[in-house]
Amino acid sequence: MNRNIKHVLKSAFNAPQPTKKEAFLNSLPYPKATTYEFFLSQLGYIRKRFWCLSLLLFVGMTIFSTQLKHGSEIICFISTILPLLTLLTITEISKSMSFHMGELEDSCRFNLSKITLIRLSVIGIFHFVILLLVLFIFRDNSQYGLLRYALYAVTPFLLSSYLSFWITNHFKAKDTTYICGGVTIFISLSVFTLHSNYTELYNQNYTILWAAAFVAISILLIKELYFLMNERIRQWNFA
Amino acid sequence: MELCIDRISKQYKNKIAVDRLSLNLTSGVYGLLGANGAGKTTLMRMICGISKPTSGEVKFNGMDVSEERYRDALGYLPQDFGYYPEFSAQDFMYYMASLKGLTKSQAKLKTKELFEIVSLTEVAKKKIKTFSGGMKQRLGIAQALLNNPQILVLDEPTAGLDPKERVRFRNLISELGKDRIVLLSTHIVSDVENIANTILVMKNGQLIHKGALEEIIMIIKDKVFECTVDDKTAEHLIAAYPVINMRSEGENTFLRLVSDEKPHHTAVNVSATLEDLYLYYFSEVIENE
Ligand SMILES: Nc1ncnc2c1ncn2[C@@H]1O[C@H](COP(=O)(O)OP(=O)(O)O)[C@@H](O)[C@H]1O
Ligand SMILES: [Mg+2]
Repeated sequence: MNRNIKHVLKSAFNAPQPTKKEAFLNSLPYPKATTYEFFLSQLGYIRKRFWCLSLLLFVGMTIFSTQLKHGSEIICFISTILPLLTLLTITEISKSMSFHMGELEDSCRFNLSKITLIRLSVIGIFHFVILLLVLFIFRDNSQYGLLRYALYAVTPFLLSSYLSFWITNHFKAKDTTYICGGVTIFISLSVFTLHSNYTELYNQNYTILWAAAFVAISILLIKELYFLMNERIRQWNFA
Repeated sequence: MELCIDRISKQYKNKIAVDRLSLNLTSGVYGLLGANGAGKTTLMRMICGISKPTSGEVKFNGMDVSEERYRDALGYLPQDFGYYPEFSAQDFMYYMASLKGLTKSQAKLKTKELFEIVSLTEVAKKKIKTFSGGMKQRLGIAQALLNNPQILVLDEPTAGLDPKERVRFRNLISELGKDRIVLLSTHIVSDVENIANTILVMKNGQLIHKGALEEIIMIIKDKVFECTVDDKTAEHLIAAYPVINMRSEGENTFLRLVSDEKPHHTAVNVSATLEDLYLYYFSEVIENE
């Protein structure tokens, strides 16, 4: 079109007011994060306190353990300390409940089940790596062989995790921290007593018993985690 | 755009909180009115997919309430909400934005824009701990809008807002209701009188009325009377009719009440308001409180 005509046309007619501009802008899809990007963003929202205390517990435990001579002393010490990790996990996992953010979180695209799954996975993997490191560092000090060594160290930890999650699932949110704290300390002390007074439990003959306990507690723990993630974390649905 | 609620019920042990409620919503502002315990929060939670109905279903444009796509179209302000203690207002918005699946740059942009709208720009970096009730409520409204939701569910959004904030809130809601579904609950009549296109009245888990303000008021049109009588007559009238308002005026008592016919020869018919209707329906509850 001739430039002149264009110019004339423009000055002759006013451009119509844009209609439904708002509706048009609203209809434009905004760029969305992928599940992977969401996962990464959630890593940053696990409290620093959790990472620091976990590491502190681990480093302290390792340094102290290297001072011990006998494999049985080391395993006693490690299995007494590890259950304390559970307390850190529980406070981190149940923070939506304790700070009443769950309802808001659950109404989002990535809902509370997904958020909890991510928190659980990240914490689980982190603690698993810590456990592997512990086992690796003391692999030679052990008179038990790796399998029994792992069973003795990890089973009490699993037990305290199971009980803590059971408590979270069955008690009011504001009471759980104290009850979990009590139970965890009780388990730590019990393990210590077992090591000192019932050494026969750590004989080769009982390995099958330990393995059975390990499997049974794992199954129970998974059941509690599943219930927490899909039901209990929505605390407003419970009276 | 249509939100279909089909015969949903919610039962808690032996309490039926929502009772076979059906409702179709298209764009506009809906005011959900009901006394405490009427089931407003329970209904809204089911619409947001955070409580499972005992029976019935909720769908938006064919999407089921349990789908991720549904939640992507949803903004929700719960009746009560908390926050992680270390959060500033801005941290809170970025966190919510990440859960809603916004990218980082989108989150920044949207937070800035919304903080302007709810006047929190100056305190964006302050800890939420230091906020007043009204500021926290405005923050809650802002987060609900982060993903530009098609369905906006606000549970008692005006709680904690001062009169000035209320006016601004109403303007914002009217604007938002033009091209989306806004459902807000309240037990304060004046909150919905001016902004809701449709008023929903809920009682004992059921929807007892639904319609525009004028339609709803029709129910008690010509049934509201005022009179000033001596104390003895007043006692009789109070026993016989639902009383909406009363105050003593010297020797006498002023009464505003609902009746099918003239309750007393001095009574005069006055025009009904939504407040009258509300008080009429919820008078027992108010007496109990
Ligand atoms: N989690 C729950 N467990 C048991 N009963 C509940 C629960 N939530 C709500 N209710 C009951 O359901 C009814 C409706 O409550 P609600 O939806 O909160 O009403 P509203 O928001 O209108 O005040 C009330 O009687 C309340 O006690
Ligand atoms: Mg409520």
